[in-house]
Amino acid sequence: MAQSEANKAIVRRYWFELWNDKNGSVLDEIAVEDVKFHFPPGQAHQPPTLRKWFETALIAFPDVHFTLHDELADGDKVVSRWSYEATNTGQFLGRDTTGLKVYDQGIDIFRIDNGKIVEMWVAQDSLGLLQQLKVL
Amino acid sequence: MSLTAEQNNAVCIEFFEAAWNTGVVREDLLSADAIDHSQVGGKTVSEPGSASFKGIIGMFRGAMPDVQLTIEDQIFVKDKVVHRWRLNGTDTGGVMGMPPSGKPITMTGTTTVRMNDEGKIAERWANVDELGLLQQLGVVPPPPGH
Repeated sequence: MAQSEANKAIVRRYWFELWNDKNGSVLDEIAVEDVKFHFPPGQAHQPPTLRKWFETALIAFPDVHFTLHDELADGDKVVSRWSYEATNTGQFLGRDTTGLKVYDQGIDIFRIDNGKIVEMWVAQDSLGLLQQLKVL
Repeated sequence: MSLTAEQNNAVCIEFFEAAWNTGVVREDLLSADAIDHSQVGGKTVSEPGSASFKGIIGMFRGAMPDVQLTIEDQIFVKDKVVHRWRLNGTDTGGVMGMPPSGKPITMTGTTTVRMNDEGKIAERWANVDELGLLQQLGVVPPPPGH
């Protein structure tokens, strides 16, 4: 139980310190460099590393703000149900800036080993995101 | 007397396997005022009851009558159950009003369920890779380089 709470705290730092505070320096503390990603085949944005993901997402959506709606932890896994709001004020997927506001929601599963995120399974609404950006 | 997390998970497995593999939405495992928050198929309103579950399951089973559910991960604590899953089927009925492609389809997703004290499904949130589905059907291009 104590381990689950500690794991939740690591994932909260991921959402709040990394993404909401835009503090890239916490990455070294909460995740290994080569986090293993499992994206759905239709994931719009499939960066090679978590650091790259953070950097490229902030170019496209520098004001991105996540809300954590639900979290549970069992064993070495943590689940987050989240949503974000953001404004597309930079290039995304090689496309010009649209200035559009977007909303997305998802459920991510994290595996924690030795105090760091080592593996992530991502599920979000890429179709909805691309429709909001008028790509589709 | 609420069920244990393990019992809640067992109810969810029973419900989703019956729904996807046989097309039967088990109302005895569903709270009468269950809310399905998933936005699959462009759904925006979540009316209480079984209609939303029946609508989504009927839509995809109509498209892929041979669809089979594989639950790839199960995480459950207290009243919450999370399943990461995969559906495999053949598009012989036509997806979302399109003509049947005859293609084998894989759809992935992650679902969170809240169980009530009677051990019935009270709320469901789901993310389904609908973009991946449309890409497999050739309706939209594959993801751009990254």
